[in-house]
Amino acid sequence: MKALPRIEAVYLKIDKVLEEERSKANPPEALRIEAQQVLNDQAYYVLCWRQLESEIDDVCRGAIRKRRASGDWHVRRARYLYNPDDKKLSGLSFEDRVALVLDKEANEKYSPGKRTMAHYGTRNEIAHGTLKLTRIDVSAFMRDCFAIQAALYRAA
Amino acid sequence: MNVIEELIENRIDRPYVERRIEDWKMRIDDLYTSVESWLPSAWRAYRSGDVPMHEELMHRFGVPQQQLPILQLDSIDGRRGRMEPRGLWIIGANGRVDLILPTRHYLIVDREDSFEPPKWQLATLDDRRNETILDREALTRILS
Repeated sequence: MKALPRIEAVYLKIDKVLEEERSKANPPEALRIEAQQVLNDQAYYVLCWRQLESEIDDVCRGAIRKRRASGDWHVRRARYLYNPDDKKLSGLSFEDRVALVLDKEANEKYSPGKRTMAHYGTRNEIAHGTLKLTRIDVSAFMRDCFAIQAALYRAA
Repeated sequence: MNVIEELIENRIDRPYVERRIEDWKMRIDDLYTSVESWLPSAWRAYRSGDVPMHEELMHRFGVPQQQLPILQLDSIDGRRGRMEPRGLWIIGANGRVDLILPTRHYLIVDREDSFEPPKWQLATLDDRRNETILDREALTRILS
């Protein structure tokens, strides 16, 4: 996720230009510019999501390797189902990758695991063609990505 | 429930959307009242003009467009600004109101869940991750 601050800087630059244009525009033009901001938010949301997803994959690979190296066969055996060196982690779904590294069922209302899956749902809608008609707080999402990253390293 | 849940899950209907809009109007009104009471003595505020509100969920559930008030700000030295609502359903926030001053553009974002008492956070358009609580002290600082 090292690229996130750079991605945010570009996002903020573009959104600021659009915001300045919007503030000087007449109402129909302002609506048109806001629609561009909505689209721009989604493009950057998906771009940021990929950074988080990649981080989750890396931590997941690490968790599998760590347990594969365990001296206890009971810990080791289940991890032989997945090859950490395989690009797609032997077909392990994203939901299951998250389950290996974050507690999705945690009692906490907005646990990192639950937030990750909620973002995943939004990302899926956008990436599979159902564009949102609402703004996304991209900076808040980036902040959440770093909070989720911290939880990943605590759990690893 | 937060906005992601509202947009993903199918647990909402027209009455729910209408309740959210009423709640949004009340939060805006309370925010403006707070800002009016926190203004430094060189400033005055008055409600004048409005902005249309017609968001995705309103369209989806056939809720008609609403008008939301703008809070105008004037200072005795001629500086002018305004606060205007920018959106209720924002992924990652529970509504946003912009404060536009001649020198800087601020975002005021509610970080609480739906129907919870608001937690208004203030940030500049350029540095949105660096938020502070919006209170009398923060307002005085940016208006001085």
